[in-house]
Amino acid sequence: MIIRFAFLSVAMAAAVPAFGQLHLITGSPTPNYLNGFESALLRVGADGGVARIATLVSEESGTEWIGTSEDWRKAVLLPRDGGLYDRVVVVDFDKAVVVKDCRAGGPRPFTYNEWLWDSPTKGHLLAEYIGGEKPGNRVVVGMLLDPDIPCDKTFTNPDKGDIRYVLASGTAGVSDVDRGPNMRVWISSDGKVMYSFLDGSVYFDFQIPSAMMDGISRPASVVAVSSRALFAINLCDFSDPEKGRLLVLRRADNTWHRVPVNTGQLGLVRGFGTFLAIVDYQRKSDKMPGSAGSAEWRTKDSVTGPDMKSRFDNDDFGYAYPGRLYLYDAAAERTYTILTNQGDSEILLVEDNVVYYRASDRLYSAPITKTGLGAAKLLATSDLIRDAHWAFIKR
Amino acid sequence: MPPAVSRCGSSDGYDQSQFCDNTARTRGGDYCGKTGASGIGLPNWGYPTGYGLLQNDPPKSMHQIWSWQAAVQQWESDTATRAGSTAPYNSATYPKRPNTPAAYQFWIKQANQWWDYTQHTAFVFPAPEDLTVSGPAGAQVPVPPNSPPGCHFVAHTSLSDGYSTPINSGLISSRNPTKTYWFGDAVLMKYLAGSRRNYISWNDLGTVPFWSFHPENDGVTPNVVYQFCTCDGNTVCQTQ
Repeated sequence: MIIRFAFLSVAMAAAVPAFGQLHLITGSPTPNYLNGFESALLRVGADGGVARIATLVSEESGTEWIGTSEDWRKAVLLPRDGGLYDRVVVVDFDKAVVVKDCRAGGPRPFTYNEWLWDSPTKGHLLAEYIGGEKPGNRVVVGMLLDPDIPCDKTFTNPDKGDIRYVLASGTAGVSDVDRGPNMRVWISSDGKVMYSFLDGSVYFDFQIPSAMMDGISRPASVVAVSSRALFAINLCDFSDPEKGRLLVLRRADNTWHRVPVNTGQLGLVRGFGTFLAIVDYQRKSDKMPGSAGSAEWRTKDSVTGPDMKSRFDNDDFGYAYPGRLYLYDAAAERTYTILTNQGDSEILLVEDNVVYYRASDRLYSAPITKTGLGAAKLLATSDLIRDAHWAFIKR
Repeated sequence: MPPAVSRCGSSDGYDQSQFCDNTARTRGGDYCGKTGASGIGLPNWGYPTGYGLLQNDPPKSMHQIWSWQAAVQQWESDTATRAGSTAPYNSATYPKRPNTPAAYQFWIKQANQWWDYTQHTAFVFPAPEDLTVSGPAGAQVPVPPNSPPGCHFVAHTSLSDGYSTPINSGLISSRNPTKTYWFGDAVLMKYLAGSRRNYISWNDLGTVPFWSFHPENDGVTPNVVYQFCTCDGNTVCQTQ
């Protein structure tokens, strides 16, 4: 095990939240890659230093899946553990520590999907859809995330219908770093949204207005974000997947809105309260043959993350990332743009009208004002920041 | 698992090199790297360039360095571990779970995710190049475009057979030139080759999913699986 500490000074004046400490979580849980990476918990100091304060999942294990909930203020990590996939690690954002670490007592059978569910009867839980290809072999199993419930009493069989209470924070990173909510939904001709298990479908408690579906005859859709504030679907017609349409239900007044950004086939969207953070990308072309900022990319795997040059060069979708991020405020129905000119960029957090974002190995913050985004401040620079795809502020 | 995998596994990357030749392929080894030009012609000996042909690298014991049989037995054991079980999950056995790690589990998951998708697609899916769906209940996964004859990877095409069930059509020969292989073994071969990316995956991230193929082995060979499977029945392993 290689232990590294990084306390790097920054050239610009540091500005971290006065009310709490900014923390980051590293990880690259895309299952299509064989090598694993460490998930580390990092703390951004007032001096601009980045300290590794805990190893959540070792490099040897790697993570299969990471889910977070701003509403619960928790992260849930599934280590690979050499193919056992039986361990669940829960991190509490308010305490910035692991509050639960349980093993299911044996390797999981084929797991198809993992989700976080806000079950009205069971509470906060990790739900996993497991089993074989025949309907009778499928079952949803779950783990209650309440840290006060001991491991031997924490595994449960939730009601499949509770999938309508799914919480999904979106897709982290760029170019196959995270697989996101992994939740395909089907939309009926009258706008009803359903998730289909092999042995039955579950309808969500809302309907998409027909006007929002204009021009789409054969919808292909995946859940982008589901939180207590918003439910967002990335949608296209099967015949034209490049024209992605992001529809968002504002739960406060039960109204649907179309985000004025083309989210393409992949829909790299994350939710933070009433904000949706979107990464821009486009099909590689003569005009844009590759992603922006290649000189800065790491060209070898590190303990905490992949060789991003290889990821960008071999992007499964053939996309290029120009280094443009969008922030849509669903409450104000307003869109902000952040230009980093670095393909390896993403918004990590929006809290108290401050947006925190990463560009390569640099972490920035910018205030969100009535007139637009304020000047960006460099908070820290560290190689570890390249692999930090989740952020929270400890209270 | 094709038996030729172990033979070709010994050739991948180092071209069955037994001696230091001061090229990049052997300079990376502890032993050849230290000896440099003065070591040209000396045995290539030491992790990560091996201990001769068909040795485990690093060996688990001194005995395996000197006993070819022990080395092969260890290889078989390691291969089985990386492959994992193909046993179907039976909900009646829950919570007792089968030991299903690694390569086969990965492929079975891909096949089943694809199967789920086709079940919920009420119309004929507009097939990408690598996938043909003949209807909601029938499907086939043809040979990847870059796989030559004699190196066909397939999946079952009916639920009764089980889409993720292993396929073994016998050893390739002049009388059986069209042997088919199971995709689970293709995934396993890339595991064994030390590659970073799976051979095949069902990319379900976006609105319109697709099969994704990555036969390359990270700068070592453009198609390590092809190299493996052409050893099956041939005297010389081929590369693309």
